Amino acid sequence: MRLFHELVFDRFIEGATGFGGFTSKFMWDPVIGGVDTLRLMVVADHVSGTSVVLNIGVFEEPEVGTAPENIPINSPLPNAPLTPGQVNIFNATLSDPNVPFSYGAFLWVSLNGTSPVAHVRIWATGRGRA
Amino acid sequence: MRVPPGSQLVFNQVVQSGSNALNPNGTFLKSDPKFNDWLGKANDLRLFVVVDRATASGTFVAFMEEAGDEELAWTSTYAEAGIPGLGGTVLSPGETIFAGSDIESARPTYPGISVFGRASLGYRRLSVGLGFTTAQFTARVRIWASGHNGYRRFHRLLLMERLEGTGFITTPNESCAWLAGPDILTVGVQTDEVVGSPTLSIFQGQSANGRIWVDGTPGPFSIVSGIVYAGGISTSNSGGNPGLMRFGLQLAGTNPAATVRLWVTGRDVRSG
Repeated sequence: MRLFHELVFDRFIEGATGFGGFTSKFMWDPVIGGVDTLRLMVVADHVSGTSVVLNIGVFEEPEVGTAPENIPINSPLPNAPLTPGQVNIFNATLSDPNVPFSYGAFLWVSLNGTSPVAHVRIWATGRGRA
Repeated sequence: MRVPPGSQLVFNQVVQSGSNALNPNGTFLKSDPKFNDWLGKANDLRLFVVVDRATASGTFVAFMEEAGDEELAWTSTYAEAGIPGLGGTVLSPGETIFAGSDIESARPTYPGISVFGRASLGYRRLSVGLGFTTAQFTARVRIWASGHNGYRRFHRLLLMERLEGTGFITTPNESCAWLAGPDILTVGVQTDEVVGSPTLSIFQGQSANGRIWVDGTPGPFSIVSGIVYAGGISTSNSGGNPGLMRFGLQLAGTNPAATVRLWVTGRDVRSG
């Protein structure tokens, strides 16, 4: 059963963010954490730079915003190469119905490479147990 | 799908390890009893642990326990093993984080009742301990729980009888219709005042009209007093329920006798 389908990340990223990166907005954390199967569709355009790669991780947390810590669950899209001058499209799935999320979950997005720039949008579709 | 909504801080206590390597674990502390019912609502649980303020390094272990009645016997879901993924070394100084899951496919069932993998009984609680490594220590432990899937529709004491001899006894006829309603059934059986060394068989009966019954072929298992035996029946794996269901009990052995309680927990797989 589909639980939601939303644009959860829409941001221009300039520069190699390394372990810095950006997260999806807090408002989506309990929504993303409520699912068992997560499908991501990633569109990256306005790409420039050399050897640009995109990383997307998923983290979970027991409380939104006030959580003392959070831990990474998975990297559905590790080091995906982005090609300048075209629209880059990726699909990624986090589907393990045997390991549910804690209360909240969020996406973590970063670029690496030389002078990387990209406009990244991520739509997330959440479903119940497969 | 997350059920019920939200997550709860179900454990927030300072725990002490054992004092030496021969007695590594100190007293195991339970989660707050007010969450026993809440923890039993969802079939799958995600558990998020933060251990801090540790006075020395050591190990962390947590057990999941289930019960049909929270004032009677509890059984450890994973026997001597801890909750999968929820244990390891505690750092000092610093914060240590663990996350693990109590889920249907990993949950063993009692031999003779069903195959591996079953839904949870109606009540659950956590039992938490710290293990000695180089020194006795204390640490603050916080555990948040979030439930997913298999929302509990009912949890009821279906049968409580003194069984003497090897007669076959079934659950009440009036329960046969509503028992067939949910997707998943789990039975918890507590045996007390056991005489001799009997074995117990639990039959799962199915019928379309209430007159012709197929009572399954259970494997008998040995029983002792004061123990809860848990077994699951996932009707979603066998093509769905027929219109009517019942459970049957039968002792075997030499002059067997026991007082038997049978609780049944019904869950629906997907709905919230």
